[in-house]
Amino acid sequence: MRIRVEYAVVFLLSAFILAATPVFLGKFHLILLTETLIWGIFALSFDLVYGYTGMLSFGQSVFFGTGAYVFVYSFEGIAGLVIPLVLAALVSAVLGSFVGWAVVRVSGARFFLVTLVLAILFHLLAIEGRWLTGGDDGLIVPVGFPGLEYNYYLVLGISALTVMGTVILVKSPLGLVFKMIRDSERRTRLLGYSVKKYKIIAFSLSGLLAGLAGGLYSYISGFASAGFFHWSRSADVVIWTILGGAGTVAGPFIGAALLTFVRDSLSAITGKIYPVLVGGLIVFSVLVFPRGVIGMLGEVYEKIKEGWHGR
Amino acid sequence: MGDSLLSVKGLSKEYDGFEALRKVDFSLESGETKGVMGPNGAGKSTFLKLISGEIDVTSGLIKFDGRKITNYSVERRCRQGIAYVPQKPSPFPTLTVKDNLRGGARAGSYLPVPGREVKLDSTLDLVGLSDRSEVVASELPYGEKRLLDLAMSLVTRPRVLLADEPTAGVDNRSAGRITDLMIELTKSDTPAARGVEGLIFVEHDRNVLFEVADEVGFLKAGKLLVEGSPEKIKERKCVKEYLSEHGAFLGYSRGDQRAGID
Ligand SMILES: Nc1ncnc2c1ncn2[C@@H]1O[C@H](COP(=O)(O)OP(=O)(O)OP(=O)(O)O)[C@@H](O)[C@H]1O
Ligand SMILES: [Mg+2]
Repeated sequence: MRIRVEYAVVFLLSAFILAATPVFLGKFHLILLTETLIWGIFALSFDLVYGYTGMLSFGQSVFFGTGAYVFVYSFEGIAGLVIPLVLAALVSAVLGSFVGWAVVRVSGARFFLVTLVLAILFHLLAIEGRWLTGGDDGLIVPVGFPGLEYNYYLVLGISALTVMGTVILVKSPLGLVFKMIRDSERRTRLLGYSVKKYKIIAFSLSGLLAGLAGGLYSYISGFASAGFFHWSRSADVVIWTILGGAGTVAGPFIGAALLTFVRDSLSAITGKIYPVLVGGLIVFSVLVFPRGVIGMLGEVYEKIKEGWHGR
Repeated sequence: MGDSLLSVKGLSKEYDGFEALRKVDFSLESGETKGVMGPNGAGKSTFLKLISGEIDVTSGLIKFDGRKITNYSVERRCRQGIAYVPQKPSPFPTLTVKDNLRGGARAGSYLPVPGREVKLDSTLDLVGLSDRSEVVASELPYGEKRLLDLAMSLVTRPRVLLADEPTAGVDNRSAGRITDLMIELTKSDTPAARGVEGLIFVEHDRNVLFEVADEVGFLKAGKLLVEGSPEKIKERKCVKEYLSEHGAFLGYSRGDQRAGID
């Protein structure tokens, strides 16, 4: 496995900057940044099925919500924080393989619709099942007050591990099969691969990451509610990933960060018209940078490199 | 017929009531290369797709190595040793040449196969793409895409290779390579062969067809009208008619290459 030097440098640099950040940020923005990292992991879960395997899933909120509730029910104090997080990820991974098994028989627009309906269904069930989920009011997790910085570094550490793990995955032989399926299901089949099997594996791994994100989110926010299952959360990850650059590991994080902070600053300035502005920004960026922010940065970098080396 | 490497009996295919292939009987022996020709829409691709398992038969029987494989999925047939190279170039566009080949080399498993790197390099050599290994497939010229396509199927270690118009629309240099490769393929003592026991290829270019094939079948309107050695089949009336209607040749011709650039 070879990783380009540039990527390693960018990774270490961002890790360093992010590690130093709490010194410069106020409380509010530190919370926002912690959330953003979680959104990045969540968006990465979508990128795995869409950007790498070519399935436009609108059902990611199902795994996010599931992870959040698994966390709520298994959390037993800050000392044993790891176990509920691992459980959130694993249960969602298992759910992911079931969902994958159910949805891989359709493709294209029908796939999109089936996963959307699934998200709506889970949301309705969560609202109806008040005894289990607390409905729209949700359930509180007694996480106590471990401190904003503690939470931030915890989430940062988990994000770094997630990024490294995902890089290893997409560069692995398994990742290669995902990309083959994305490029051509037909040719993948002709080379002897059971496309369905690999799509289910992709879904399961995607569920793992989304469940982890859900668990983390209910941890830092101290609650989980039926709204976690809402399809608009599925829409968020689609937008973040496409804006940041699908089929890259950094893209989902960049997209999530960009929109979270732009949304935040615009809402402070302009009040009610901010959804319109955000919407316009998304449309503009997708038209101007079809391969996302990462794609654009890549092009700029290549140009600079060319200029540097002369011709 | 029982001992053939591959045999089909009464093979038929209907697309929404349209009979694309009608009751074709055909067999391929070990070490044999068979060519298929026929006008556009004759059912040539349909024939290969049925054998590869890409589409389901309407009726008929397919046997491979003594086993009935009519109901096997396409991926299972690939793992058993039947590889189909589609008519349209089909490497994975966003992957490098090397990764395209790597995907083929694992033939259905994501676990690395020992010694496969060596095999990849030698296969790249074989098709003349060694210096292209890091190029993204979508950036390859048409002829090299076809070569890569062939290489991808070869590294799955097929026993039978099905090639659908491998030289159509290809530049002379690449077409020459493809033709040489097909000739070498079933000769078990050459490095190209690597266990390929049989080859069925569809070809519009009669020069390539008659040079490469041991036997040629002529398909028209879904029917396998005649079959036989190149010498014999050229004398048959329906083939003569077809060849004369078709002008001198289509696409690449080896004679052309000798007279021309090289
Ligand atoms: N999926 C399909 N649905 C309906 N009709 C089809 C389908 N595939 C092929 N056909 C029809 O079946 C007939 C045979 O097609 P096939 O592709 O096998 O021909 P071919 O001999 O390979 O032709 P060519 O030389 O153009 O490649 C054609 O008339 C074609 O239009
Ligand atoms: Mg054809």
